[in-house]
Formats: sequence, structure tokens, C-alpha cells
Amino acid sequence: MSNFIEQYDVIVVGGGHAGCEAALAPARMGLKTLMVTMNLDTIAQMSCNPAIGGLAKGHLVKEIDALGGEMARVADLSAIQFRRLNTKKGPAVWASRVQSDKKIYQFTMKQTLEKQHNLTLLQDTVTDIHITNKKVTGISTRYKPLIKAHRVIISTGTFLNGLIYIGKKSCESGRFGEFSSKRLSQSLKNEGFKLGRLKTGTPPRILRRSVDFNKVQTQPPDDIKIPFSRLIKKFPLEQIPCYITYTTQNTKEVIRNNLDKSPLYSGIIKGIGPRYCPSIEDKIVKFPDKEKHQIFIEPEGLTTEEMYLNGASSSLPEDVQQDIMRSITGLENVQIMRYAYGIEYDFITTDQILPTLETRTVSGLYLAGQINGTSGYEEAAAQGLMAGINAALSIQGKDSLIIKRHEGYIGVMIDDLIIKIPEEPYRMFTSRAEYRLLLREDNAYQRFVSYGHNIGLVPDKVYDEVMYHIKKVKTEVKRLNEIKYQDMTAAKYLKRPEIRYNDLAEKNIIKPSADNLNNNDINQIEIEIKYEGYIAKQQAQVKKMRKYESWKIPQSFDYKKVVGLRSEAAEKLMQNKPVTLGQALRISGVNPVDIQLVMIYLERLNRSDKKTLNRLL
Amino acid sequence: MYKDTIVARTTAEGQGAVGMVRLSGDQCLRIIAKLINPVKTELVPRRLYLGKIYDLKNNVIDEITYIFCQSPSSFTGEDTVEIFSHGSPVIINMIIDLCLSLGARMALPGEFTKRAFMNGKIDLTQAESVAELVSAQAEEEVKIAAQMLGGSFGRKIKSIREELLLIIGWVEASIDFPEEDDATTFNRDNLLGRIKNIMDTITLMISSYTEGQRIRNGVHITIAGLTNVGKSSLMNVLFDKEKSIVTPIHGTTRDVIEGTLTISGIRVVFRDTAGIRKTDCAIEKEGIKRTKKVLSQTDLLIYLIDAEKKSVQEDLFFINEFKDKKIIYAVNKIDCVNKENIRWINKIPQYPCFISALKHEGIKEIKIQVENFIKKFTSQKSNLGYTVNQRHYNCLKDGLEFLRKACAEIKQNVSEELFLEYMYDAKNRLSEIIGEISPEDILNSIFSNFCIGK
Repeated sequence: MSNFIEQYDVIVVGGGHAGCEAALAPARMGLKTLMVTMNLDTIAQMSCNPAIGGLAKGHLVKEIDALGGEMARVADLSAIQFRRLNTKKGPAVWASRVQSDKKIYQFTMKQTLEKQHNLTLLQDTVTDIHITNKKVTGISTRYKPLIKAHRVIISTGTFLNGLIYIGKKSCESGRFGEFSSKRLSQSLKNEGFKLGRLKTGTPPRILRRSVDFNKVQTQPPDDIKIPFSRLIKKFPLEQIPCYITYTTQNTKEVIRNNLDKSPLYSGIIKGIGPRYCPSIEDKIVKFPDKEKHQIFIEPEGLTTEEMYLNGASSSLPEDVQQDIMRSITGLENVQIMRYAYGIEYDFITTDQILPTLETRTVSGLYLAGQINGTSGYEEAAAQGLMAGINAALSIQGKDSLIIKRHEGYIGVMIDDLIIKIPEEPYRMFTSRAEYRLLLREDNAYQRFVSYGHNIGLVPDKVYDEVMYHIKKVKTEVKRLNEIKYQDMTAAKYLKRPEIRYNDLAEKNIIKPSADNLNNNDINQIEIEIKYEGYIAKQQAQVKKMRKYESWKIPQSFDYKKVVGLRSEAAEKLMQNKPVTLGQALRISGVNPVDIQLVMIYLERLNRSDKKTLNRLL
Repeated sequence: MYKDTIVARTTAEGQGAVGMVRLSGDQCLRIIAKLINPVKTELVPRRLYLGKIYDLKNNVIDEITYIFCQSPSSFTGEDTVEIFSHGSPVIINMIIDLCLSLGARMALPGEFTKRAFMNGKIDLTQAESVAELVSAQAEEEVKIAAQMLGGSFGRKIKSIREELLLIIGWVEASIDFPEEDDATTFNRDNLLGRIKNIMDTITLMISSYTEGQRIRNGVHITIAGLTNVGKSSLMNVLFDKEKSIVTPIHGTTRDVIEGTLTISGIRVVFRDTAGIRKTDCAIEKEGIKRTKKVLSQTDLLIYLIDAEKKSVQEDLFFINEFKDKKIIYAVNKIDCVNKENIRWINKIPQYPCFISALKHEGIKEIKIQVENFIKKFTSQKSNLGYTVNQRHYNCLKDGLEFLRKACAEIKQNVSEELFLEYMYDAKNRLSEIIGEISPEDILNSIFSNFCIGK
């Protein structure tokens, strides 16, 4: 072995959905990048449900694509069922979702990483993060005492001190059958990071031919299929259905008779599980009056007979699980191939990260994904992308990229994490976004393409296309506002719910546009005109908040010195350390008067000692 | 930086000789241009002007004086207008309401001083005292809010909060969980009914404000009785001057005559009315109509009966009409008749005072009874247990308006995420009263009410 010490710009620890984006972005931005994973065969593994997208998550995937991330493209290439949800409501809450062939997803992503220039993949276990003078310098692995790096991104998912439960049996593991990384967890603890503990779970996988398909409903793919990514024109794989079935009275009885065997109900698991994804035993206990519960049967891929029982998570013992599943309609003779399990894991509390996802205390160290207390592939990928981009930008000496709440779900998520430590695994919902009407799947490119292009992740060709699209839409909207029709404008006429853009030319109200408008353009024109009032209203709200968002609070600001600040507010502010007054205002328990007081002190600081303030900022 | 224009009264709460309202921010000239008439197009800073304030229906509210101070030469450092009106809380509140409807925002506690500081009008050494002032005023508001939370009023506030959380959660669940059978069950009729209930509660709370306003506005006492019973004479005695026209002809007072006294520190408006009797004369009829109208706005009625009368049949007929009013009975012209000879005394629902308006006899007794009534009347709070202040009144009013808009959209079948915007507006506006509702609170509501599980 030589004494040569390897040196990278960026090292990414972990090869899950966050890690993949976190490694690709810096490599594509021209930086020498290393990804270290415990097992190359589990890169981009879909450990839970076989789907990408859904409400708010589909929005995240579109944003990732618009910024030059990879998830959208890989999801399209591995999609085996496309559905658009909420089509009966308005376009702001339409959401795309694909069922994925898990293995194809994984292998497509792995090959993308392998082909990526500037990116090295290494199968090894990271044991230590090297930190000198509060600055990251590199890592140690089981086989290499030192690999140097300017920036390190940790995206280890549930592997920090992971503990798996099936019934009252438990074992240390990051994912079923895999090791957890206890040493890394200890190393972070030694560095002074505060850890929290969360819980999640996954349902059983069953054998396709043991399902009685005559007894279950079929949920077919949509007829119109629209890929996530701009780069993909058509889904390449065969599209297949999912199935829906229900629990029975018998399910209730089996569960009630066996609750004492649950690690949760007997108090062994202490972490807090996600309420949006409760175990089947939770549902029965919390909603005793509900007669039956929906269970989705989803294929895990085209080349496997395994199916995923969505809605049937459990941490009960194997024999009870078998009884529960067999009480479900159509599953009377089901064969479970992998049992459901619950998992508890450490995360680093989010009061320790900055909006760039860099840690507050260790410069150059970034955190992304479940380690920040989130849940979901899309949430993880979005953070991985932002951590990767910001790590790269900081090496390049450029300004960091912070997405604001009114610009994207990515911004909402990271801001939410900073102002509040998750108490359950954080999942994105559209109701979390106060500017929901501005953050649509259809305008993700308009919102992000300039950012993506500026940092070098979105190619010129895509950028030019989007700019051309924006110009076409703008021109046409302007034209419709100028064309008179009866006592109104064509635009006003188009606002009527029953009128579509194409009706205007058909009714000779307008001449067809000189630009060659495609469906995407037309869709955009309709949305901009039909929802103009609502959009304008939210834009006005954004403007109102802007002054608070731009007012920075130094990290060392001493809230105790603020005379008259209520102790509850001071406590919350000290705990969450908001970066701007806008964030401070969003912390629950902090009111506008508290903000006024903080403002007075910031102004005092500003006047008495501008230099100090600038240094603090 | 502080572009929005704020407004608040700067004189103390309660009745005063003069009231002052301050507007600060770059919109204040635009606002007073719509508020005051005549308003000079080119105001000279720091000069006192005279004008009248009109409401949106073009009725004069008050004659006022006002001063314009131009940025940066004002207390706050911004464009400022100070309006000096008469000191009635009703007038001051109306002026503030008008400013709000013209685009101003109610100032936060201590906000004028804070702006003065932020704009460099107050120096550094005063920063601490500014902060103290802001927090002291805020504390005062917290106390008021805490007071509101007690009793039946508090229960109403709580019910609004819970109901709003529930229905917003209900609609949000249908958006964020479109595949859950449990979460997609909301129906528009039911939703409308529930919003309507919230609106009713808010309307009730608003009425407590109007009620309180009326009490602050003054106690209204009306003198009534048949013609020529001596109502105007009593009025004259009470005011010690010839306010009404007193003649021996029946039906002399054809208009309503008003006078104001201060009793126990409360403004009391006395009204002398035309006498009531069955008549064919058109002017009389109008007078009676007016009496009835005045009586509908009256807190206390002094009903006069002629001691010389043989029968009180006619009086009893009218007394019966007003039986839901507080009434003090007075038998007048006691100087002409011996008290013992009046046979119908026990037919009157309650023992009367015996007076002679002419000879100024028994007037003290009436005054004592009036005083007792006023003390009781003003100490007694509205049936809600508390009356809201102007800040809360504005929140409630706006909240109600947003809910109304939400209802209109729900009826027009507008999509969920769009009509929700108005429900959020209502929620935000009401938060000062019902407390903050965060997205997390809404998610809590969803997860505790619906079985989400995919």
C-alpha cells in the first residue's frame, strides 16, 4: 500500500436518494467527487414503497429536474404506471406519480453515477469524520485511515444507530439484512452534535400468485402519460395496474388480540413514527369505528413477483402478521416473502443546520436526507441536490443557492426544518406551502431553470427552450388581454370556467397565435389567465414578507438582552436560531410584537457597531 | 422599509374633550384626501387645518382640525397626519375604521415609537425605553386578551378556533390525501353549514362591540306620556332652562327635543317627545311615530302621568306597549291634587315618584332613581360577559368578510385550494383573537380526524 493520500473536493457518505443527487451535482459542476457506500448493490435502493411522486412530492421531483437533478429522469425510465392525482381540483394541486420498477430504478441510477465524469464510487464503511478547528478535513473508512476532502456531505438515511423490530425481537441494522453504522453515529455525537430519535416502518412484501385477483379492484394507469423530466418524451416501460382491497372485521379481531406483542404498544420503541403512515395496528386502535381500511397492492417491478402491501405496515411478530394479512379480502392464502418491520434511527436535530444544509458548528460538513429527520425519496433527493450544489458553490467561491419559500417546495422544506425540529419523520404536504398556488408542477421550470443554468447543471439547450416557452406564453397572454371581444377582452372571456384556450380561435374571437404553441404553452396560458386573481394575491403576500426575509439575524444574537421579550419567545428563538426575521416570525410561539422588539435590537446593533454586525452576519 | 401606513388613537381610552388619531406612512396623504373635506391639495407641513370628516355614505361624522408633518420632519420620521376630533370614543373609532377601510393598518402596540426609533428620530440611548414601551403595551393587550378568554366569551373563541381548524383540516385532507377513502368525504353543503355557524358566532361577538359602543356613547333616557302631561316642563326643570316650548295647548312638542347631562360621569342624553294620544292631526301622527322610534333606542323611559286624571285607561294602553323597557313612573302636577285622592295608583305597575315640574317638587327623587339606574346599567356588562375592543372588532369584521367570500366561492363550485385561500385569510385575521393556527396544527387536526394510511 502506498502512502499516497487521496484528496477530493467533495465526499458523499451514503448512496441513497440524497447521496446520489449530492454526488452527481458537484461532479457535474466540475468538482472531484467521491461517493462512499456500504454496498454498491444498494445504491438508490427504494427501501419502502415502489413509487416516486404524489402530492407535493411530485412537485419536488419536477423542481429537482428543473435544477438539473437526476431523480425525475430515472423515475421516468423505470416507471411502470403513471397517474396524475387531484385532476378534479385546480392545477396547483395536480400531482404526478409513477409506480417504479425498483430494480430498474436502482440500476439506472447506479449506471448514471458510474458514467459520471469526476465521480468515483467506493464500497466501504465510513468510521470517522475528520474535523480540525471546526472545519471538516476528510474521513476515515474501515480500509482507509484518511481520505481528504474540502467538503463532506453525510446522507446515511436510517443507518445511524438503526434498530429493527419485528415483534419484540430487535436487531441493529440500517435496512433489513444490512449493517447499521454505529461508529459514525458515535463520531458525530463526539463532535457535539445533538441527536434525536425517530421511528418508521415498512409493510410486508407478498407473492403475486398467492393473491386472489378476482376479489380485489384494479387501479389502471392513466391514459394520458406525462413524464416528470423534460429530457424524457415517453415512458419506455410497459404500464401495468395496481390493486385495491380492504381489511375485514376479522383483521380487527386478530390485531386486538395481539396488541400486547407489539413493541410500540408495549413501550419498547420510543421513537415517534409518522402519523401519515401508521401501522395497521395503529389504524385499528385509533379509529375503532372505521369498518374497513384500504390496502393497495402494488407491483415492485416487471421482473419480480414480489408485491408491496401499501397501508399494511406493522411491527407485530411474523405469525401475527401472517394472520392479519390473511384476514384481508383477496389475501386469504397470501404468502409473505418479506415481513413488515419497524425501524428506529438517529437523526441530527435540525437546529444545527443552515439553509445551505451546512452544519452551523462544523464548516464544510453538510447533512442531507433522513439524517435531517425527513422521510421519503423525493424529500431526500431534493436535500441531496441542494447540499451538493451548495458544497460545490462554496468551493467555487460563489454565492450559495437558497430557495425561498415562495420559489419552491424545496425552499419550504428546508425552511421548515430550520424553524422546527421534526417530531415525526418530516414529509412534504402541499398544505405546508403558504404560497401553494404559485408552486405548481407546471411552472417548476419557470421557477428554477435560471438557477439550474447559472450553476451549470442545466444545459444551454434546455434553458433556451424554457426561455422560449416563457416568452411565447407571455406574448400570448399579453395579446389576449389586448384583443377586444364584446364588452370585454379575450382574456377575460377565457376566465369563464367552461371556456378553453382553443375555443377562442374556433369561435373566431382571436386569430391563431403566430407562435407555434404546444400543449404545455397552452396549459400555461390558461392557468395564468384563469387564476390571475389568486396568483396576484399570493404574489402580494410574498412582497409583504420580503422585508422580513431579507433582514438577517446574526447567529450569535443574544435574545436574552432584548428587554421585554417574552420568555417563551426568547426560548423558541434561542432554540431555533432563525437566520432571518422572516424565519423568526414563522416560529410558532413567536408573535409580531416579539419581532418588533428583536428588530429594535438589531437596529441598535446596526447603529452602534456596523462592523461588528457585518462580521457576525 | 416600513411602507405600510398605520393608524391608532393617541389620546387615552374613554371620553375626553379632544381625541387625537395619528396616521403614519407614505399613504397617509392619499387616505386623508378621501377622508376629509375640504382637503387642501398642497398641504403646508405643520399648519393646522380645519375640515369635516365624512363616512362612506357621505354623512358628516365630525368637524375636525388636522396637521400634516412631512417626512422626515415628524415624530416617526414618516409622512404623518394627526387628526383632532371631538373626544367621543364613538367618533374616534369611526375615524379609525374609515382609515382602515382606506388602506391603513391598525398600529401594533408601541409601533409609532418603534418607527421613530428605526427611522433615526430617537437616539440609541432611548432604544431600551422604546422596547420597554412596546412590551408594556403588548402586555396590556395580552391582559385584555386573557380577560376575554374567561367565561362564555372565551368558550365562543375556543369554539371558533376548533371549528376552523377542523374544517380547514377537512378540506386540506381532501387535497393532500386524494386516495384516502376517509379523507375525501367532505361535502360542500355541510361545509357551508359549518362556516355559517362560525359566522354566526362572530356576528354575535361583533354585536357585543356595537352594544359596548352604545353604552360608551351615552345612556339614553326618554320622557314620554300623554299630551300635556308636563314632559317639556320636566325637561326644563332637569336642564334648568327653557329647552322645550311649554304651553297649555295639547300637543305642543311636535319634534323630539334633546339635551345632554353628565350623571355619575356618564353622558346621559335626555329626550323630550311629543305626547301620545289618538289623533287625526297629521303632524301629531308623525310626532307619535317619532316617539316610538326614539323609544326603540332608549335605555330608560320616564313615563309621566297627570295627577288630575280620573282614569289611566289610555296610559295603561301605552305602558303595555313599552313593557319591555326599563320605566320610571312619575305622577306630575301633584301640587294640584291630594296624593291620597288618586285612586288609580295601584294600577300602575310600579310605585311612582310624585312630582310637580312647575313647583320643582320631587325632582330630586327622580334624579336619584335615574342615577341608580345608570350605575346599574353601566356596571352590567353585555350578556357575552365581555365587550370586544376596536382592534378585536376589526379582526372579527375582516374575518367575517373573508368567510363570506369563501362561502360565495364554495357555492360557485370553485376548486378547494382556491376557496381555502379565503379561509386562510379569515384564519390569519382572526388569529389575534383565537390564537395562531400553524400548518402543523392543521396537520394535527387531519391526523386526529382522518385515518390516513397509504
